[in-house]
Amino acid sequence: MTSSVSLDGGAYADAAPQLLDSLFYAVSHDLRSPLLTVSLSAQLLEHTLKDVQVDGADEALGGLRAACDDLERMLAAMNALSRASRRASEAIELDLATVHAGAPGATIVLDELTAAELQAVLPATVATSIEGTTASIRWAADGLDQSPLVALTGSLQAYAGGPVEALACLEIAIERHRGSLEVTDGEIVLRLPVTGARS
Amino acid sequence: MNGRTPIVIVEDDDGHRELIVQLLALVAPESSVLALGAEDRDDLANRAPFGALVLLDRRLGAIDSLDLIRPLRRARADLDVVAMSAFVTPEDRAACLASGASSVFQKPGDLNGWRAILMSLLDDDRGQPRAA
Repeated sequence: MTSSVSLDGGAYADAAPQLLDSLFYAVSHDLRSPLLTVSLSAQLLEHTLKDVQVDGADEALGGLRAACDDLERMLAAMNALSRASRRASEAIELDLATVHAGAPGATIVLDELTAAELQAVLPATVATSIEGTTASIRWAADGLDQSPLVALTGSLQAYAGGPVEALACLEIAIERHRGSLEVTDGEIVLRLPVTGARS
Repeated sequence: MNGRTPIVIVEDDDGHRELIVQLLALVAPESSVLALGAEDRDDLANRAPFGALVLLDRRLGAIDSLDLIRPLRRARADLDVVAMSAFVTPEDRAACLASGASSVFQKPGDLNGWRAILMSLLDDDRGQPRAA
């Protein structure tokens, strides 16, 4: 007996985020083993050749090392994105000041890891406000002109391993808590639902 | 666990499996090593030597080997199953340990990292590690 699955446009659109996440997970894991084989083989070769003069060997091995490091950096970014959407995310109530000392008094809902990651990426100078049931934190985008997640998935080469990767992972984690992180008019704008505010 | 403990490697990537065998030859030259691929996973309980250290890749092709650990430990309590993976998150670690793996490690990207992990696994009863 055979079975088949057909995805019409709607079904595909519904499944796309999960498929994308599965792809990130599978690719980051599946490609790292052959990458490690190349990397470790180069190291074994380097060890074997250490007392032998071979023209061009240092350059070739150096090129291999650099390429492996680059691939490792990009695969780690894919794995980080996958983890941001899969990891345990138990929401707790926190004071907004937990993520930035200068923020007004308000209660937000985040998991502890996301709160810690947010605290780590926020610069010393931010603009914060509370409007209705939403807290906003804004800071300079430093040349980034699109969503960090869009930027990172558009070019792992340019952004993996840097601050855009950290922001892209936060974008995913924060959306899981019904917040948002976007880039508008040269600013990164973080919005978080507020469950209580103090004057 | 010591330098004579039989070792079973279950790894779907042929090149990587061969490299681990080479490293083990340096780190534990007196250990017998059985290298298996993903296709051997269902025969693991029959083929692993008594008291072996089993280094089990977390992903065997499209299979998540997490589901293999519990039945393997149930069938062969003498085996020490250690999970290895390309990336290990805290969630992965917890899941592997809950399934019966005695430890979990992320595959290192350098030879020294591999040596350190293999020596620590083989030196679990804290004798002197063998020189590489």
